[in-house]
Order: sequence, then structure tokens, then C-alpha cells
Amino acid sequence: MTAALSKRTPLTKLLVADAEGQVRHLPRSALASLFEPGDLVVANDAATLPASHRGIHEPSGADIEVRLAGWAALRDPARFIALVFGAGDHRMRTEDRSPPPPLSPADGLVLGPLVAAVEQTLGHPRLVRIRFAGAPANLLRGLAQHGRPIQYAHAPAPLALWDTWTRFAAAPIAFEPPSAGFSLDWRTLAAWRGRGVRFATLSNAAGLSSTGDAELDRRLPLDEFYDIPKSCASAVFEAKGQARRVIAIGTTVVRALEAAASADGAVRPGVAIARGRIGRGARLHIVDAVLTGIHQPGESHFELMKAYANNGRLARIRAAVEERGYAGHEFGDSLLVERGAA
Amino acid sequence: MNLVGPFRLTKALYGALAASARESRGAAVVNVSSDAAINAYPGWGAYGASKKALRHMTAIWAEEAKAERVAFLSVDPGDMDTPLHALSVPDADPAELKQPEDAADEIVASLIGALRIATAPEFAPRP
Repeated sequence: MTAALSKRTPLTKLLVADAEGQVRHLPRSALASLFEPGDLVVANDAATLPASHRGIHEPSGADIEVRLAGWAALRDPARFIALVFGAGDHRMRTEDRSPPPPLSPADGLVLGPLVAAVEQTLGHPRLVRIRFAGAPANLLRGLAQHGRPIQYAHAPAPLALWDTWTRFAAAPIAFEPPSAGFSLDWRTLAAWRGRGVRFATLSNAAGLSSTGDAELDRRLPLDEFYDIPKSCASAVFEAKGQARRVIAIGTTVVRALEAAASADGAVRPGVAIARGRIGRGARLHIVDAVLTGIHQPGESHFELMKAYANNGRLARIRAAVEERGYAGHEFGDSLLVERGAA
Repeated sequence: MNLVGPFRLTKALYGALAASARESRGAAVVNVSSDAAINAYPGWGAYGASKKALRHMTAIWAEEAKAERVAFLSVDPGDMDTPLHALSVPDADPAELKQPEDAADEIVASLIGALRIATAPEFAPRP
């Protein structure tokens, strides 16, 4: 599988943008030798669900693709926020996908072995809340058997579910992969452990990275459930107490930790919801550096970097990305941005 | 099935096992082995070879997973009074065979032992 190979290629690149405004070009394997003893790396251990379901919109008979995009209640497999496309498939760019037939509450959706109904429309022709009929165990089986991971037009071959899981993926609660985690492997974690760099995980039910619709993309990221274990919360508290750095692997980790943060450097463990965008001027209490993919201006991931780097630094990062041909997208190269002085 | 099944299942669950260990809830994998992994029984080639391979894979994973504090055990439950045993050794005396319930108790006991070691304070993350 091509994508699986790309997860493992040693040629993947890492751009490090430090707090002083310098950029460095490293192989991604250099991650193992970054960071100092006592620093804490936090990753999102959510595994990815088979969130794409093809089927029929019953009232019109039209072909549709339903992409599960968020939990109505975390781990309740009956109700989801979902994005609906009309005919076409992932080989088309998301931007070119046709809209679904007009959707109304109570419309039936037949998705392979599963039957769902529109519960509520959510202010956009493509965005709805749906409810599946049936017992939870049957729903999980149906979702697993009929669903596929969300596909990307830029991927050279269809992705299997396995390709969308990071090596440390645990509970399947994410709708798209928390892709910054593809940068880590067990060898890197062992190297960090050997040097006293600590590692913890939280689970964030990462939602969709793009909808193909400019208006809807402006609403991203949608609200995301997260679950911070006590062990992670106490590791963060210790690191902040010892004036060590906290490094987030991916923007979903930034969202969860900052949503759970209080001003004194503590984070509340447990399940809660991260809402809204982090961007320029956001008050950051916890995360000192973020490892992310290469993103385009306007994407919510890029906007989040504005909380870490001023326009001058962002321009230098963009120039370095273009000059050295860094690859974007979920399976591309990596960028580590340290938080600069305000 | 004896080898590829456990291999794939463990690969799929390993992230969750490591997360459980990080949260000090313990994590262990028990693979059921057989004396056919040790003794050469004529006519049991595929079974014996796959059980031997499973046993060795478990031993290798035990070493590899030490750092993540995920325990790997290979357990030979012994000859049990099961339909499979009756099918393969029809003239065995059921009274001399172990009851599956007793074998299950033994497996649970070794699992608890492995988890106790894996969650012992000296293995816990440094404060």
C-alpha cells in the first residue's frame, strides 16, 4: 500500500521553525534527537473510524456518500454529525463533488446494511445530524463492515483502514486520522524515553479536515470530543511546574490541551468538547510547540499556527516550504513550530 | 489461523494496549500454545509448526514490548476435555484430561501475575 509505505519512508522531511525565527531542514527521523530531558510530548491516540458510507437517499433515490464527521455524544454509535455528498467518489477533488439532494428531517438514508434518518439539518445543505436505527453492537458491526476510511484524491491508491491508523492508535473515535502522529514510531518513543523526554497521549475525536465547500470549511474544525487521561494531565502539570516544554503532536492535541487548560498550567482530565478555532492572539497556556503537516493559508490548521508565529515567521516558513518542495496533505512532510514571543 | 490471526489482532490492538499501560491500568497478551509446539507429533505438521511459530513470536514481542510495559505470555493449557481433543484422540480417558474451566483459571492466574509485574511501581513511569 503506497500510503503505508509513505508512513515509513526515511526520506520524509521535517521543517523546524524555532522561537527565534530560524528555520532548519531535517529528516523526519531527526525527531528522535529533538527536545530536552523533562520535556513532554503529547500525541492523539485516537484510531480512525471507517467514516465514509455510500448509500441511497430514500426520498429521492439519489446516490449519496455520508461522511461521519462528529459524535453527537462520544462513543454513542447511534447519532453522528455527518457531511453528505451527492454522486461521485473520492477520485474527484472534494471541491468538485456534487451537493446531495435536498435533505430534510426524517429523510431515510440506506447505507449498506445500516438504516439512518436525518434528525436535524445544521445550517448548510451538506451538514446534518443523523440517527442510526438498531442496537449499538449491530451498528458498530455495520459501520465496520460497510464503511471505509475517508479517501483522498491526492492519495495514489485507496487507503485501507490500517493505513489511517497511527502506530499507537488506540480507541477508534476519530473521523479522519490525527495525521501528525504518522511521524512517530516506537523507535522514536524509545529514543525519547532513553533521553528522559516524556510521552503521554490523549484521545481527540478528530473531525474532517476539509468539506470541499468554502462556506462550510470556514466552520471547521467542528466541535470535537476529547478525553484526557489522568496520567496525561499529571504529566502536563509536572512539565509546566518544572518549566519544561510541552510539545503537541498535531493540532487536535493543541485544541484539547488548551480547551482543558486553566491559567496555572493545569489541565482538567476527563471527557469534554473543544470548540472554535485557535488562531492569532489566542491565549495559550500549555503547548509550547506543535508538530503538524504542511498546510495552506485559510485552512484551520494553518490558522492555528498564527497563535504560534507572527506573520514574518509564517512568511519565512512558507518560503522555506516552497523553496525545498515540502509535501502537503495527511501523508506528507512535517513542520515543527515553536511558540515565539508575542 | 494459529499464527496470522493473533499477529493481526495484536497489531490492531497494540496501540490500545500501550495506552492502557501508560495509564497504569496494565496490558497483557496471552497466546494459547500447545505441547505440539515442543513435541513432534506425526500428522500434526501445520498445527505444530504454527504453534511453535506463535510461541516464538510471543517471546519476541515480549522483548520488544517491555519498554511499553505490555506483557506477552504463551500458555500451554495442557490436554483438555474438549470436543477437539475427543476428535483427535478418540480413545483418551476424559477423566484424565483437564477441565477447560480449570485451564481457564490457570490462565487468569498467570495473567494476573503478569499484570502485577507490569504495573509494579518499579516499572511505573518516572515521576
